[in-house]
Amino acid sequence: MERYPVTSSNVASIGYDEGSETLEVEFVDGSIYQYYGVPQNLYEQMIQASSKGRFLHAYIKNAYPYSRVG
Amino acid sequence: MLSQDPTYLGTVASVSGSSLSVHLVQSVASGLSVIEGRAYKIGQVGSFVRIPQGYQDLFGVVSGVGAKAVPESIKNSVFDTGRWMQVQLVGEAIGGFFERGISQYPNVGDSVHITTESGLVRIYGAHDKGHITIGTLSSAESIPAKVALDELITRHSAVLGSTGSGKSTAIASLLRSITTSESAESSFPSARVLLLDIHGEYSTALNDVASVFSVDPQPGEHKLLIPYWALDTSDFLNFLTGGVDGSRETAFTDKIFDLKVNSHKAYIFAGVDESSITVDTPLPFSLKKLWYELIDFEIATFEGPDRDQPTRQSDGDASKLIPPIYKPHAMGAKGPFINQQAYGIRRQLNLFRSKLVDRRYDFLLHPGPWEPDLDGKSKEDLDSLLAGWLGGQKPITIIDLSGVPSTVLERLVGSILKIVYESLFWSREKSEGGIERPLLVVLEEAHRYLSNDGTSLASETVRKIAKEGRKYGVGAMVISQRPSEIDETILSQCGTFFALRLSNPTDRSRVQGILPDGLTSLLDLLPVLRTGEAIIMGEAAKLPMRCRITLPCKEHQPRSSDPKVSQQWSLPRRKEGYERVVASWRAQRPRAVIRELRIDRKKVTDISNEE
Repeated sequence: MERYPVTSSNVASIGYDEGSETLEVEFVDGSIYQYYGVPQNLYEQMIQASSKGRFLHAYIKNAYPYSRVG
Repeated sequence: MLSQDPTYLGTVASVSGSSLSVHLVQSVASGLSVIEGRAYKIGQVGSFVRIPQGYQDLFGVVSGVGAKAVPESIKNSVFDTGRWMQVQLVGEAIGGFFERGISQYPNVGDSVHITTESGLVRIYGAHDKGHITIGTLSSAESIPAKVALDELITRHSAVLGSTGSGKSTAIASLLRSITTSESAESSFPSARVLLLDIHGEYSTALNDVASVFSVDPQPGEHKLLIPYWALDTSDFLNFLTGGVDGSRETAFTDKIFDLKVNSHKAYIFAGVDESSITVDTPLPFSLKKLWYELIDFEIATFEGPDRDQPTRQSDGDASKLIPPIYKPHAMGAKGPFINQQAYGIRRQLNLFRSKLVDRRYDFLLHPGPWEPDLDGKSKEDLDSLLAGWLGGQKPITIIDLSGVPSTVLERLVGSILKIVYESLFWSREKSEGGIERPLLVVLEEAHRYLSNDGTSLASETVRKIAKEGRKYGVGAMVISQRPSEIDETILSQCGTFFALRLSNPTDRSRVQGILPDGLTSLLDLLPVLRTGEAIIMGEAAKLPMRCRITLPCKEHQPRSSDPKVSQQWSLPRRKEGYERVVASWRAQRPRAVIRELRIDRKKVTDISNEE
């Protein structure tokens, strides 16, 4: 099976702030959300995940507080 | 021999006014007739019957069936079969052409027939240009329901229905059929629609045909800004100062007038003659300067033998809203003395200042490129504002007002409508004006700003549009779930009604009052209409019709913003931090955060799992 990078269907870009454990996610529609108190290892796992959107939905979205910021 | 004809229903037994009693024949006892391979239910309330009169056919609507429809005189007769039908005459067809109104009455004993699909096509099948298809008839799904666009826009319309009856889907579908009409004889590339979207439901549904303005814009949307200086001064002053009267109001208006004249002198505006400037002429002026000059006059103190030497200690700063400082006045003969000419408007000026610093009003009091500097120079003029609202690339402009505090909603709606109406009114002889390119204003959730006791700017402007908009090419479409709470003048000026499911009795009686007596029975259906089903009546529809509005495809349906309670309540509890809540509240911004973080985001890619 051949595996190659494809553009994610709903996550455009992600970033992480260690000091405040804040994960910032930009979605394909342009909206930006911050997730609070996300441990760094989870962020690293997300980077590795083959589908960012599915990972976010399964492990972060319903588990950590968030706020839309842009 | 008549009973051989499968469409035969019965005979006319009595005629009074436009109402007929029809005695049904035994042969229709089953309640179902099969004609040309299609089954027709007999005696459905709201269905049509045909009464052939030789050269022409009369058409009527069934308004009642059964015991209640028995004529008074034979009510107690033992011979009565109980199979009676009450019919309201509505129109006649000569040849293939249907017309409302009748030229002659049927006679007792005339036969009454079911209207088959081909008959319905005669009634509803408008072939003229300028009709748009919005759905299909409920009684015959192969027949498109059409409304006349001219009457729909110019005579105004109202869409009424309870929550969940499919109002917003109906609107989305209607607007879509106007803007994306494919048929060759009716496409409308110059359509112009302004939609006031109170809940932010439509931006996703219509994104391909609409440009969106929002107080809190998403990517791809424009920021909604309203230059205060284009508004009517007295109403604006009321808002700014909490109400002023008499000489106090004059203090404000005189100053505004001076500032407007100075602005015109400095930057000459086309069409303005200096001698004809009034306080309401839409010319830019600086609110900060207005505030500064008024407060300066109020707090000034004087000294000296003639009490005419100002004691100003520091100049303050108009752009930062810092008032000048004077020596405090003192009692006795030495002074300093207070300004005897002061108007006593310090309370109003304080309120004025607090409005200027309130972020909620930024869209109005600090309208970005339309905010004049202290000299009254505005970077952009009104033309670019109107070009955005009325002359966008796309036929529909959505003004998304979700996220506007309800205290200012009404004023905001009023302001927008006022600017739009005034500009189209005065440009009526230009190709950009309302007559050459008419505008449809869609007013969502109208009961929130067009209330019964309306003396507000919004009510006044919509009332004006309802009364005289027809002449200047501005049509209104009022949408509401509480018709009984809407200003009566406005509702009574609406020529076309789309009544969706309505269960509240007061709301229903409001709608029922609109139809001629004979047909009110049609509206008894209102509480039992299916979702997305509407009774359309009035100017744009030849006859009241019950139709099912075409659903737009899934991604073009308005998003219902109801929280999914059962789904959300079933989630495990997340950690919560109410300091974030307070931060947003204080900032008056849903997307505010406690600390602004600079987070570098990296573009991400997924790994494909397919071969």
